[in-house]
Amino acid sequence: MPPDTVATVTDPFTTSRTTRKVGMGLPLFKLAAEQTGGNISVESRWEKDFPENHGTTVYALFYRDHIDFPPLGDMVSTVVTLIQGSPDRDFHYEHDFDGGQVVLDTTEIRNALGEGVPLSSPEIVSWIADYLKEQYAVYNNKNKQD
Amino acid sequence: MKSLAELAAIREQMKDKIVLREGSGDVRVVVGMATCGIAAGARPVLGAFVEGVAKAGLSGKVTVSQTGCIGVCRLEPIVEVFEAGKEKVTYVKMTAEKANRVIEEHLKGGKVVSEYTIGNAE
Repeated sequence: MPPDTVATVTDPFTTSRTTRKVGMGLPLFKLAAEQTGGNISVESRWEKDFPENHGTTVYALFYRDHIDFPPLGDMVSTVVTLIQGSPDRDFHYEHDFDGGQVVLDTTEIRNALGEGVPLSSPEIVSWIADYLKEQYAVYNNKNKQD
Repeated sequence: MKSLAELAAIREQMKDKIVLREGSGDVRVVVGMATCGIAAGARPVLGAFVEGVAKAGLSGKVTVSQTGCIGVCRLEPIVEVFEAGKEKVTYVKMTAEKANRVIEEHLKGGKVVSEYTIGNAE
């Protein structure tokens, strides 16, 4: 993104949408982080300045012990929906916690599958869901004990 | 214990089906999957369409995809059916069960399920 877009990107009226004038993603994300005493930061390398290496990274800090820290929710379905909706895009999902980790990388899945099998195929989607559920079983058991 | 190695096996099983999947995409089923849709229960609807279309052997003819907020959030989950040469059909307040009926009567049978459409839902 150009620098002047980065400066206003957390304003709900700054949006790349054409169907309406409001984009709520980043503003709501910022609000959620700030409600726990945290914050977000958006760093972007504009294609014009970095033709080989452009991109945007969003960092967010949430304080988990704050009363307004929201529950994690159903991450398995969330990741599955993301992949199912954009099967040509690559996602690297990683959740580190005490005692373990949940990892899923679509580039590894594509390598294992080879050509011609879309990640949105029901069989693959179902495999991804089971793969994540299995890894989350460790996280869920741990949380039950706390 | 799930492993990436299983993917190679899944791919073998799917080899025959892959050729058939390169369909003409005559019919597009689009499920609203924005925050309003998901909150109203669109995920099971999407799942029902994806599985149902595959089970009915319609994968060559029907593609199922997601979209953002359609603008009538109170009627979510919303499913739109686009078919070349025909008017768009908008189904509202969908559930996984209703999805199965739409697959059977509309996608397979060619007859719109008018009770579920937006015109019927005022």
